[in-house]
Order: sequence, then structure tokens, then C-alpha cells
Amino acid sequence: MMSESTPQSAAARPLQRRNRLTPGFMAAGLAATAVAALLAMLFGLMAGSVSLDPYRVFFEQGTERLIWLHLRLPRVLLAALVGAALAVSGAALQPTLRNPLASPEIIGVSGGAALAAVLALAFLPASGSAWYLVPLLAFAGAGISSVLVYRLAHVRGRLEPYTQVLIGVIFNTFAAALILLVHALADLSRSHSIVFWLMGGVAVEPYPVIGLVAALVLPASLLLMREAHSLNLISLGDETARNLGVDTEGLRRRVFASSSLLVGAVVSLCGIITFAGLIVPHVLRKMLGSDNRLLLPASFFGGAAFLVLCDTLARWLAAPAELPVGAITSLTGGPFFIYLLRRRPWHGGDL
Amino acid sequence: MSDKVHQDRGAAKAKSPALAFRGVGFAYPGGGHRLEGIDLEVPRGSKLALLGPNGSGKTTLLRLAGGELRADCGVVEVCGLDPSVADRRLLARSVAVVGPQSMIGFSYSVEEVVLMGRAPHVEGFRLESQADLDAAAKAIAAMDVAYLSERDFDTLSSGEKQRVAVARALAQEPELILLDEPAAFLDIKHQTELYDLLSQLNREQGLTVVSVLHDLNLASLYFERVAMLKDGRVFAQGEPGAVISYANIREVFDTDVYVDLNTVTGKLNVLPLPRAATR
Repeated sequence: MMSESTPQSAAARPLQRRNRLTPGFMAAGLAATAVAALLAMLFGLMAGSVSLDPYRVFFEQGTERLIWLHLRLPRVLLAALVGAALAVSGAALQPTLRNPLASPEIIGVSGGAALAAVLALAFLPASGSAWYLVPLLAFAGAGISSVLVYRLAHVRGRLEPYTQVLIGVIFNTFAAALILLVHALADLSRSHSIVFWLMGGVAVEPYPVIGLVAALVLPASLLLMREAHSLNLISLGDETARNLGVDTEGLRRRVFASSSLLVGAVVSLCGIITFAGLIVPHVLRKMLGSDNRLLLPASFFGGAAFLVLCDTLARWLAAPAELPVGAITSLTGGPFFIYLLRRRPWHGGDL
Repeated sequence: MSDKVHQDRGAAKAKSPALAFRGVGFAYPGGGHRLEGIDLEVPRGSKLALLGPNGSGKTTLLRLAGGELRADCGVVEVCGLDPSVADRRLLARSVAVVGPQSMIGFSYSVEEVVLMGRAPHVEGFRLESQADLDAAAKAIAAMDVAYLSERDFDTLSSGEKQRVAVARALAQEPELILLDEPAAFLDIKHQTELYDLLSQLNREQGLTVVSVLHDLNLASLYFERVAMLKDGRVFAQGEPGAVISYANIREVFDTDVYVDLNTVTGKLNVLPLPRAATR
């Protein structure tokens, strides 16, 4: 170390593979998470209150095929989209808000969506067609609340991460209080559907609806992934990121807009499913590193795998009854995450 | 980027200084420190030390130069660009800034952090090219942080973080490097090594160095020009031998010091004096 360490004589050593994201590791990480998502979907397609025989599904015209095509497949596809959307937006919001506890719910969009949905469930006339309005109104609620939170979090022309988190949290609390009020005032017969909606869950939706969700989730996720390198840099602090060429204001705006779209699409259809958006990015960060160029697409696949798995367990474990998927995500994800935390020392301020 | 921009930049480059302040005034909204009538010019390939007491406007000057703040009046010019409106990536290819280091909060290895210095040269979603890896490796070796490569940045000491931050700035391969008290947390060996290295890059590659410094001795050792700030104005600028005088220090820092010539280096020695010694 003596003479070698002087700048004049130091010879540059090539960079070590394991200390950074290499193309090989990136390909392996993407392949592994994509395969996990596919395996989870296969499991979800076969397991359930009725276990299906692949032969009968594919080669016979019968009940099993109908179950598969009209119940299992749409539900698994929707669960995959929902999990992917939550995880990828959580992964992008955590560095943007410089807060490891950030989850997609934190930006306040879910509160607005839930409030709108509950209002609709409480006061819409109880006819069959009116229920179709619930997700639409919830999506509108998500849109209104995202604009509102964005406006409120804009202080002196800047989107401050701490302000944004606080406004989001306060907004959600406010929405929750209003939901309680609406619930108290609503007719008792509506109470069950309100509680059921608030618990969150993946339902069987018609294919055009799933197509619509995909049309929102896929482009919005891609937009987030495009910002992956800038998300690495913004972790260093706003000023450093700007000095490295990042338009931090624009980045915050774009991440907020894409995440709002993702969360709005998901929450208005499935209610509030906690934990997936928080935990999946953290688990993957432990396994694959913090480089968002791998983490974001890996979270997309990993989130899909996680939620399909949880949803399958939710309808399988107590069949024919169904458990709320939010309970499963927390019950399975929580202990696994704590295991990961304790297995290796948690460096620095990682959480 | 179009060829025209390249040409325009090339033309601007040939005649313009690395950094120039012309009649610059600035006040933070809501009061606090302000700058007034700042005139400074840093020719390409030179070194300038910014001296002055806390709150005299040194960091504000650097933030104006880095495009972080926008001058209320006057002109700030950096490598032929107006930093407050220039494209950030374009600016980042010419100017590197080393400011205070904060926690990242997510686990990034030292090597990853240095590689982030290549960001202005990496297109969009791509991973770093071999040229980027080589530049980072060179910077890591130059700053003597290779032994930290696999460490998590957040677990480093302040001095180590500072050296990694300088390595990241060097990996940027800038024409101008702006440093805000880079030696603050460094031990005496790494202090001299840092300024040895910056001087070497200045000599061999024409790197322009502008550094805020509290250590007046380091300033007189390593810089051919210094500017001393007081209350948001340039109090004196010129050769360290002329600017770092007993009278100027007395006036600007409001404190007594002992100044003499170092017989080994031929440069100034400035030593603090306890109040009891001056009575």
C-alpha cells in the first residue's frame, strides 16, 4: 500500500464483476424472475378449489375446460398484472421519494380511489349495471386525488420528496376517515360489499377488462423502466443527480404520473392490496442488488409471481371459501422478508 | 445531438474561459446569505481556490456555477454554457461537482457509485461500456479506493465517502471540477494526495480546478490563484502570497494568525493563534 497508493504510481485494476451490474447478471436475473412468474402462473392455473387435469383442459370439451378458460385464466392473468404493477411502481417510488418504506399506496392515489368506490357502493342504486360503474368511478377518484396530491406537494415550484410522502399519508388518512363516515351513514345492506371491497382481492373479470388493465399497466411500467438509470442517480441526492445530468423535477413528475396510472388501474379494480408493492422490491434488492436497471423489470416479474402465488393460496387453502389476498401477501411476505433481513447483515441505512 | 451543437460548442470552447462570473448578484429567497458584484474569471487549465469564512458565499458561488442556482443579475458562464439553462447531461459532460455526501439509503457498492459518474456518457437504458468501466477503474485507482470497491457506500467513513465522491467526479472525465471543501474529512496523507492528484491532472490533462478550501496552507501550497470572499463579495484575488496576508486574514476572518514562509516549500505558513497568545 505504501508506494502503490500514491496517485502517480497507481495502476488501474479492472473492475470486479460481482461489485456491479454486468450484462450476464442482468440477463440471469431477468430470466430467473420471468421463469418464476411463469411457474407461479402455471401453478395458479392448475390449483384451486377444483384441481384440474391438464389433459381434460386441453383435449376435452367439458366443464374443466370452461373453468380453466373462464375462471382460472382471467384471474391468474389479472393477478399477474396487478402484482407486476404494484411491485414495479413500489420499486420506482422508493428511490424517488428517498424512502425505503414507500409503497404505491403512499402517494395518496389509493385513498382517493377507495373513497370514490365506497361512495359508489354506498349510494348507487342497487341494480346490476350500476356495479360496473364502481371501478370507473374509483379510477376517476384515483385521477382526481393524484392531481390533488401533486398540486399540494408542489412547494415553490419543486416536488419535495418528504412533502410528497407526508401529503400522501395525510391524504390517505383523510380519505380513510371519510370512508368511515360514509360507511356509518350507508344502509346496513351495503356494509358487506363496502367491507369486501376495502379488503381488496383479485376477482374474475371479463377479458376486455383485463385487456384494458394490460393496456394501462404495460406502457406505464415500461415508462418507469426507462427511468431506471436516473433512479440510481437520484438515490445519491437531488443535487448530485442533477450534477450527473438528471432532470430531477422531470423525473419526479414522470415517476409520479406513471405510478398514479399503475396504482389507479389496479386499485379501482381490486381494492387495496397492501404489501406486495413494498416487499417485492426489497426482497429482490437483497437478492439482485440495488441497480434499478435490473430491479425494475425484475420487480415487474417478481411482483406478478408473488401475487399470483398469494392469490392461488387465497382461493386454495380454505377452499371452497376464499381468504382475502391482502392477508396472504402480508402473512407470507412478512416472515420471508424478516428472514432475508436477518440472514445477512443489513448494510447501512438500507431500511 | 446535432453537429451544429457540436460546432457551436467547439467555437465557444476555443475562446471562453472554463468559468466566469460577470457582475453576478444573487440572494436566496427568504433572505440569508447574498452575493453582490462578483467578477471572477477562471481560464481553462488553471486552478483557483475560494477562501473565506463560513457564510461568505463560497458554496453559493459553486452552486451558481453548477447550475443549481440561478443568478439574479449578471452572467455566469461555464465551459461556454449558461449553467442555469443548459441541458443537464451536456453540462455534466464538462463539469463535475463534489459537494457534501449524504446517505444513499439503498445498498450500492463503492464501484457502482463511481460508475454512476459515467452517467452523462451512458445512453438511456444501456449498461456501461468497456470505456466507461476503464474510466471508472482509473478514477478508483487514482483516488486510492480500490480496497473499498465492494463495500456498501453508506458504511464508509466521511473521509472515505469524500474520496469516493472525488473518484466519481473524475470518472465523469470533466473539463472543470468544482470541489466544495473536499479535504474536510481527509487525513493529512489523503489531503496532500488529493491536491497532488488534482495538480497532476491539471498539468497533464488541462483539468480546470476550482475548490473551496478552509485550509489556507493547502491553498497557498497548491494554487497559483486564490479568491478571498467576505460577506458575499470578492475581497481580494490574486497570487496566494499576496492575498493570504496577515492583514487580509485579520480583516476577513476577524482573527489573529501567525504567518511566515515555509523554508521547505517556499510558500506561506498560516497558523492559528489562541486568543491568550495575542494579548
